[in-house]
Amino acid sequence: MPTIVSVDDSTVPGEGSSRLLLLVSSDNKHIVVEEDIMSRSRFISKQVEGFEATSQRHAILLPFSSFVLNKVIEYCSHYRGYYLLEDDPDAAPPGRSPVREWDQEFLDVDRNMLLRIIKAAHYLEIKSLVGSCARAIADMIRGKTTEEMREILGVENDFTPEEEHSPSSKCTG
Amino acid sequence: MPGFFRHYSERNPTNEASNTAVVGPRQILPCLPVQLEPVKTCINREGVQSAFTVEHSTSCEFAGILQQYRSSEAPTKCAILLSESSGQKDSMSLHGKQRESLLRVALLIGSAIAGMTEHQRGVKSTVFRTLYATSDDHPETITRFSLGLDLRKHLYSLEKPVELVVLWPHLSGMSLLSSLPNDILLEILEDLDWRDLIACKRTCHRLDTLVGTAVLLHYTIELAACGMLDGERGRLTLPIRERLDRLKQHREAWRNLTWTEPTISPTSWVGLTPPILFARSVDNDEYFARQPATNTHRCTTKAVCNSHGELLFSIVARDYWSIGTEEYQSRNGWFLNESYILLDLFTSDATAARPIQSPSARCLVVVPISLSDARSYRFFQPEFFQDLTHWSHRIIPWCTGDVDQGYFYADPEDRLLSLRPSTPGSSLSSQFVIDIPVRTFTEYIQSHPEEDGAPVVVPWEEWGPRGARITLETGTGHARWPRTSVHGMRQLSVREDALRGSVTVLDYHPRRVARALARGDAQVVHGGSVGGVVTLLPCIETTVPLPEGPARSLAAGRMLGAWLCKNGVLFVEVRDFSVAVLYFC
Repeated sequence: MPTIVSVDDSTVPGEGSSRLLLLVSSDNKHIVVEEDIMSRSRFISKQVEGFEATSQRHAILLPFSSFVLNKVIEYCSHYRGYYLLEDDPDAAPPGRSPVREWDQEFLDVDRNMLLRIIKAAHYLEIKSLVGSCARAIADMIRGKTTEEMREILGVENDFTPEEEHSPSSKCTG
Repeated sequence: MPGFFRHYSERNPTNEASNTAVVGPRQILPCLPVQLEPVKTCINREGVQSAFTVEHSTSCEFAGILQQYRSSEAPTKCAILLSESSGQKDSMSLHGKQRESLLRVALLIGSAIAGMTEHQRGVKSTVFRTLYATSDDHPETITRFSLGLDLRKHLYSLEKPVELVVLWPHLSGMSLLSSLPNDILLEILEDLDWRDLIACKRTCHRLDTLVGTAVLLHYTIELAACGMLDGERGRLTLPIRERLDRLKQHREAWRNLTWTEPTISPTSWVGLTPPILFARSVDNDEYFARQPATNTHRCTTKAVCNSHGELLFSIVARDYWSIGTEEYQSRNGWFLNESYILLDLFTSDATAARPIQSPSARCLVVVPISLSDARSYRFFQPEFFQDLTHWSHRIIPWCTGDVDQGYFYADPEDRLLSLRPSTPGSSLSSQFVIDIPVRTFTEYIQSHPEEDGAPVVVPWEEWGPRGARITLETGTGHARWPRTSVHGMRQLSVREDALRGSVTVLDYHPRRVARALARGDAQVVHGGSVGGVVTLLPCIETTVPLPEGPARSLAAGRMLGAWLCKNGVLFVEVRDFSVAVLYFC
C-alpha cells in the first residue's frame, strides 16, 4: 500500500499481540498509539481492517505534522470509550453536532492550528472533531461583515463591480 | 540524471548552504522535458491512498508533471509527498518565491524518479518523504531542507525502487477557504445564521455558489426572507427539501392571495368566553386568542399575551398600573418581549371613570416588567392626536406572534401593533389607524440603553415617521364584530364595499417588503399621512374579494369575526360556532 512504509518487523511494536499502531507524521515523528484510541477515526479503522485482511501491519503515514497529530490523539484519548453519535458510521446523521464544553476549550487555538486540526480530522474521518472545529470556525466569522470575512477566510473578492452591485441575493434585508 | 544526483551525494550532507547554491532552476529544468497540461486530479485517494486531490490551478502544473511520470513506464507508482511543514508557519502562508521553490523541488524529485527507476524497478517498494520547513523569512529553507537532508539521503541509500505518494496540501490555497473541501465548508456554514450567510455569499463566487446550492443554507435564508423560524415539528418529521418546498409554497400563497376550498374545522374547541375568544384548530397548528371589540365601552377583562402569542393572564377590572412611583391609567397592555410591556395611555374617553389629566399621558409607555433596574420610555404620539380629546384607542388586534408549532412559524419578534383611535359611540365610517411594528420600540430601547432615572421621553419625530404608518381607513367603521386582525407583521381588514365585501392584507415585514421592492412589485405602499402627519414605513398592500361563504355570511349578518393566522384567514360564523378556516394555500 502506497501510504504505508513497509517497516522492519522490529519497528512495529508487538504485532498481533498488543494492539498498537505506529503513526508517522509528516515531520517524520514516529508515534505509537493504542489502536483502541484511534478507533474513532474511520480512516485508521479502515487501515486496521486492511491489516487484518492481509495480516500485515504497517506504519501509517499521515500528511500532517506531529504537533497536529498529537492534538488529534489528545482528542481521541479524551473520548476513548465514549460513544459519540457523530462518529457512529451506522447511526443516522445527527444534523448539527452538539456543543461539548471540553471541545471548546480544546479548540481554543489560533486560526492556523484550528485549520490544521480540522483538516487532519477530515483526513482521519473523525466526524465529531470535524463538527466541533467547524463550530469553532463558524464562531470566528459569525457577525462579521463581508469584508472581515474575506480577511478571515483569506479570499479575494472575485466579483466584478456589476455583480457586486446587482441584487444577486434574494434576501436584501 | 543519475549523474546529476551523484553530484549531490558526493557532497557533505551537513553542508546545506552549498547544496542550496547548486539547486537552481537552470540545473534542473532542462532535464525535464515535461509538457505541462492542466490535470484536475493528479492521484486520487483511491488510486494512491492518502494522496490529495489536486484541484487548484497552481498545482495543476505539477499534476501535469506527475501525470507524465505516471504514464511513463518507469515507476509503477510515482508520487511525491509534499507534506505540511513542521516549521512555525504552515504551508498556507507560502507565496511567491516560496511556491517557486517548492515547485522546483517537485521538479527535482520528479527527475530523480525518472532517473532512478530504470535500474531499480521490481524491487520491494518503499516510500520516501520530503520534508519542508517553510517560513516567510527563509523561502529557501524548503529547497535546502528537502534536498540537503531527506531527498539526497533517501535517493542514494535506496536499494529499492521508489514508490512515492503525492500529498499536495493546499499549496495553492494559502487561505482558509480554498484549502477546505466543500463538505467541511458546508459544515461551517450550517452553523451560521442568515445574516452571516448573506455576508458569506458576497465574499466570493465559490461561497456564493455553495450557499446558493446547499438546501439547508437555502432554507435558512428563505426562512429569514419570509420572516419565519424553523419549527420543531418540521425538524423532526420532514426532510429539509420538503420543508423548503412548503415554505416557498407558503410564500407564494401569501403573495397571490388566492382562496382555497374552505376547511371547516370540526370544532376541537371554540369557546366564546366574553369578551375573549379562543379558537384552536384540530391539529394545534393555529392558535388564536383575542378579544373581539365588544360594544361595551368599559371592558373590564383584558387578556395579555406574551411574545409567543400565548395567553399569559387576564387583567380583571384593572384600570391602573402601578409601576414604581409612577401610576398609569391604562386599559391595555401588551408584552413587547420578555422584559417590556407596552401600555396605551391614550384612553381618555368620556366614559372613563378617571379622565386622564396629565399631558404626558398621550403617549405609549414602555415599562420594564422587572421594576428594579430599568426605566420606562414614553413614545409620544403626534401633535395632531394630542388635540383630539375625545379619542380612545380601540384595541383591535392582539399583538400576536406564533408559537413554535408547525413546520415553520412567524418570528415572534416581528409583530405588528395596530392602534385605532376612535370616538366611542360615534358612527364614523372611517378611522385612523396607526400601525407600529414592535421592533420600532424594541430597537429604540436597545439602541438607547437604559439607566436608572426619569422616564425617557421620545418625541414623535424621533420614532414615528420611520417606525409607524398612519392612515385613514374607510369601510371598516364600527361594527359588532372586529373587522381587523393582525398576525405577525400582517394586518387584515374586511370591508363591506360594493356587494360582496373585500379583504385587504397589509404586510409590514421589512424583508418581505424589501423583496417586493426588489421585484418591482406595484403593491408596495410607502407610508401614509393623515392631517399633516407624514409617515414613511412601507408595506405591501393586497386586496382580494371575499370568498363566497364568508361573503354570504357577511351579507346575512352572521359573521362573527375574521382573524388572520399563519396560513390564511379564519372566518367565524355565528351559526353553531363552527369555525371555517379558509386557507390561502
